[in-house]
Amino acid sequence: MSGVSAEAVRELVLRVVGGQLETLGLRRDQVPDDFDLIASGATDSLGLLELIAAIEDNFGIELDLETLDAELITVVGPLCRHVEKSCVAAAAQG
Amino acid sequence: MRDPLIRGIRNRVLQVLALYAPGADGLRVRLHRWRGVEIGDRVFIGTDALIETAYPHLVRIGNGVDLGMRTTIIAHQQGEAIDETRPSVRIENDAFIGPGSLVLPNVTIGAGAVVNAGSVVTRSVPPLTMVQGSPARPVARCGIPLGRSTPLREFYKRLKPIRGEGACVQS
Repeated sequence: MSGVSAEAVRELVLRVVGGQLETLGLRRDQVPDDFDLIASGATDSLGLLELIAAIEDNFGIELDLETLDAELITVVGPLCRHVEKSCVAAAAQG
Repeated sequence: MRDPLIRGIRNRVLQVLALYAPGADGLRVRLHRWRGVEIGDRVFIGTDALIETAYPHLVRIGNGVDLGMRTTIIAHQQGEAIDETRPSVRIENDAFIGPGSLVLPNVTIGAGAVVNAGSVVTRSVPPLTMVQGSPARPVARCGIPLGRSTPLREFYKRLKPIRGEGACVQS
């Protein structure tokens, strides 16, 4: 899928974990780029799987995290930019 | 009568010692071996893990297995004949059993499989598969086993969600 922006991915990511953000007392616009979804308690390993599934279903890609630094896979900004790049690469491959 | 009684007492005493003995990859493992549990190399047994109280020889644990704190393994079923000739619960090499999980009889947990904390395993688990819940259902394929030296996020980044009937992951 082409035309997917990191901002659109962020919107989806924060929607998926939205309930837990409320529990943490955070509005979506307060979530910084370096917000770690697991370290903050916004999600867990099962939630991460749900997030990956939601990203794949929404953007029509198979998400490959191999090229992303392991420490960054649960950090909002780097994750969203990685998904954006994956969408661009998928679109280029047709 | 005397032999089974002595064997039973010995088994229970060793189990009680193993619950809190130090040495999750040393003494605790040895105590369970003395009870009759078949255990491979590099196995970690967490505090308060209960491994089949009455028939320890019905449990086989492979190499590199990690049993989390308060794991409970039951290898016999009330009302069912016990087949002493083969293990009832098999945990294959490099499997990871999360803390507080319950593994029930006639189950094989495949090599490199992961049982998430607090799950109840009622059916066999394929190799390199993560299961979760009660009853435990497949939620992901694992790219690598979750060994003690594997950084958790390296493990996470190779997970592939399992969707479809019976799976826990909803998108």
